[in-house]
Amino acid sequence: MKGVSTGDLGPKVGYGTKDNGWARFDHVRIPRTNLLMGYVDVDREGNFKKKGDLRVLYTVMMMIRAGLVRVCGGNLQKAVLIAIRYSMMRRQFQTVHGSTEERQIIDYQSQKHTFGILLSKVFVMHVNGSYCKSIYLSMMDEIRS
Amino acid sequence: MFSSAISGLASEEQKAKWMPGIRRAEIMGCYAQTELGHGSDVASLETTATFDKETDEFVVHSPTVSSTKFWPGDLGKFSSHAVLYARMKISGKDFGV
Repeated sequence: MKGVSTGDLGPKVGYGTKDNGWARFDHVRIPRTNLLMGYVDVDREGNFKKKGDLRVLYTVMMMIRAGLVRVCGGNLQKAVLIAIRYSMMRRQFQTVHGSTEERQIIDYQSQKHTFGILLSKVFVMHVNGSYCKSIYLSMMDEIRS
Repeated sequence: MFSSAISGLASEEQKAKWMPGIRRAEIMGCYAQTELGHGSDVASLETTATFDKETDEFVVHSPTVSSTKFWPGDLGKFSSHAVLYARMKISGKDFGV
């Protein structure tokens, strides 16, 4: 489109599938009716009218912020699940008295210490994520009503 | 975010125009809010959309380096469309973002 320059920001650490980009606009013309007019209105003469609570304009990003808390908890949950299952299956050293089998590595203190903390965090983040989402939803209800 | 911005902020008429294409993935959009100099402080955004009464159009402009839209996801390659956040100016009056 004439007057629009865009580009990709390139590789980053993590979330490589998302093509975060940049854009600049040099006097780009768009029809007046492209203004999203659910909460505001600009007529042919340029008269501006509010149609609701304009705080709603800020809420799209807040939805993502609230969602991030849930997503992080969910991702950690998957990682911890894999790690703990592995620690149950993987055995190292014949140190169990009277047994010829090697010891599950989950039995080792350092392993328990590492995953006990992370597993606790999974629960906290899960509850916290649901709470953030409920705050967001009740806020949206308030704004819309 | 793009589709939730349209479905959340557009008028019924606009939703009828845009949402079918978005649902069929014929329109790939991004949510262009963040600028190089301004993130979640939406009120500080610098990109301008100035109403031109003669042609019934908005003129979208990036007046400074810090007004460059920066980091929006899917803006780099995917998008054909964008929900763009800008300061609206009509007859010299700044209506804010």
